[in-house]
Amino acid sequence: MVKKTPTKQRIVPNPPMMEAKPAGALKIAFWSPASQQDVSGGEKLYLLTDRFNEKHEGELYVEYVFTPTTAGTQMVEKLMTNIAAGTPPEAAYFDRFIVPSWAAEGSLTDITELAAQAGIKEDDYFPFAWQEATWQGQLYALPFDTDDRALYYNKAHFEEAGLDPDEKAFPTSIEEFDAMAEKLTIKEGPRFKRMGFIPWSGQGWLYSYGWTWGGHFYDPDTLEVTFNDPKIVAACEWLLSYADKYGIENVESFAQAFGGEAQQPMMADLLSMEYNGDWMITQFKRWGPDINYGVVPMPWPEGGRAATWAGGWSVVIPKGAPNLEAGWEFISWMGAPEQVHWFCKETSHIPTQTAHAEDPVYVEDPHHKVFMDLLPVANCRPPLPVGNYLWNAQVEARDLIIHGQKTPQEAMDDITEEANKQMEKYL
Amino acid sequence: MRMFSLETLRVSRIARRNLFYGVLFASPWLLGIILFIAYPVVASLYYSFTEYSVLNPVKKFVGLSNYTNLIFKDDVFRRSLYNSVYYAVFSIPLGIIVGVGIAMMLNMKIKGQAVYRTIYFLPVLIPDVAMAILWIWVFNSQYGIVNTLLWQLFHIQGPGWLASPKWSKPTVILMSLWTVGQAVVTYLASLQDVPQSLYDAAEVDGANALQKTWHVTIPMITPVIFFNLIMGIIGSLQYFTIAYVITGGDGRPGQSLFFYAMYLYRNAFAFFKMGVASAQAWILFIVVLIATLVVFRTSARWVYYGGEEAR
Repeated sequence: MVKKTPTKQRIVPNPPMMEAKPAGALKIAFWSPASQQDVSGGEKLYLLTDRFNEKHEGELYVEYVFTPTTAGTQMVEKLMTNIAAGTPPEAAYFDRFIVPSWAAEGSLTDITELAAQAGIKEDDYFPFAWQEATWQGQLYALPFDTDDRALYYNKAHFEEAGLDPDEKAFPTSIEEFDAMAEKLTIKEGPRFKRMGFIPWSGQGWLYSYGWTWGGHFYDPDTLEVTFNDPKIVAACEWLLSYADKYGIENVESFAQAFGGEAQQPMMADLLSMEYNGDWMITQFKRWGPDINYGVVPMPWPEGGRAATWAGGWSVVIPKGAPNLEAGWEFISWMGAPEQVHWFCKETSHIPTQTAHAEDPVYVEDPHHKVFMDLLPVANCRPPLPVGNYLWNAQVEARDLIIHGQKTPQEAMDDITEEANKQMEKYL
Repeated sequence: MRMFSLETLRVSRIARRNLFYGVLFASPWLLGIILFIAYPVVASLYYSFTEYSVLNPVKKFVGLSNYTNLIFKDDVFRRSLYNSVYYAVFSIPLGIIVGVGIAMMLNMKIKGQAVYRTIYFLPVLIPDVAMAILWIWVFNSQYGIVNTLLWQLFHIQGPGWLASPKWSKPTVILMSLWTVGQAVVTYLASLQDVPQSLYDAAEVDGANALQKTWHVTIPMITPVIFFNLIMGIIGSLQYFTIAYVITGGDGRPGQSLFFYAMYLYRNAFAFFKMGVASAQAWILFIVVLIATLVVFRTSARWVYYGGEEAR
């Protein structure tokens, strides 16, 4: 006879699984695409959930469920199909800029009334954060954290190339910047050893440069998409000029050496400057503690401006959630300033509530101060039902432009036409 | 007469009972095929004529416009179809040539035959996603083993492979050859079925090795080549996983690796266009159907079945 082996002890994952739900408590689910293993996000959300459960012992128990997004999209298919099937969770952690896309399809619960009753006001938040959480004046999400973007540069490389590494001396004109990038580039035979700047690495999306060039991606009054704004087209031309100047194939081959963590291009000494988000400060601490770097706003051409854009997440109640009250109880607690503030401090993000963003903790680091100073002028991606489409479209357009498959004008006209066609059904 | 009808009655009763049990035992499968295959197929045909976002249960009937927009107005559709057809046109014949070639070599009576056969089959067992990640590194233009070897052995500066729109499709076609082992197994089985008597007869007629291969071996394995050709058409036009993983879903560089199935997936699950995606699925079905029918039509001219000698 086979001897029965004793039941195997459950392996305790890191962080440990929550204790089993206490008897009598109502169990609800919180779906999040942030993995519990992710120290700069998911883990902290998980700990918050745990704290909520402790406070509501015997009444309410929230289960943190990790639901990954698919590469190349911002979509959580599992959430989408569960909403369609009428079996969604009570709460979800949600990329804020696609709130209008889902809200317009009737997939999120309108929390305008609930928020008003709880005393949650528009004035408490950065304007972009509130805009992204609403559609047609109704609120569908509670803004959570935010982030913004600027230019990082390696001061040692500047000294090597005979450039002034001081932030105050950093040029604001794009022409000077382009010349610097060329000066910083080091070639070895036909190959690059190091490049000064690659516009499409890091956070160098079309959005980033479109705003820096002074363009407008949509008209907030008519809700018309205006990707073919001449200034945005000019920004695309500038991207293309880098592809032509350095040879797109050479740059792309070179960029294949870029990876994550210690292989990030600035950590691995492959790039001297990169446009990226404020979370990179944490990355530098971990993967490039010896790198002496500076942060400045991205230089701009004539007619442009020192711009940035902010992203961030939110908490929502999917439409058709079995227990609306419990869902609200949880997301209103999660989205409350106290929790958001704690999360942001732990993960070097920024709270969407203006009062808390003023906390000196966010400007202690001089690098982070640059981001905080830019935040009041931060743009957000068009808070429209086509926001999700536009994100993918601008990624795709950038790729087509730099590889010469479409001219900047063609690419921007195509997006504008398609997006406005899609918008028709919502207006 | 009476006896006969009684007999048929009894037989039919047994037959009926057999039928009942037959259906009963097959019912899990029947239910499965109705719920998970037949229903979705029929539903997708209906969705293809509607504007359907999945999130919103309301389906607006739009007639043929999903189809006409895709075919006449959508250049991403055309580009993705071109990419998939390009992949099929090159990867299938190459796969057959390499597959038959390897099978012939593995069929030689040499020492360690079983070991070689195992080695050639092994890659088939590796999951697509793991394989894709592996290939990304093999073809990495900076650190990849291919370019490193090219440089160290021949002083050739290798191309950008997956980083270059010109090279990316040839690169994935090259990758597809790595899993040719599946087909090799079927070619091998068929090679071993070629009757020795035919070779003996060819020998008597004074045929050399090349003539024997061309006039005996190849014709005798055409049914298996035919089978692999059909499977290849179906499989390669649906090419998805490896390209999706390599490009993170957006088919870069320059959309050169944006294949038909990737665009379909993106429309369905990223752009809330389930209706359009359904239409794409049906267009693909028709393309595959036509390609397969054409191949079937021509098969009488080149596929040789041993039993048809008398013809």
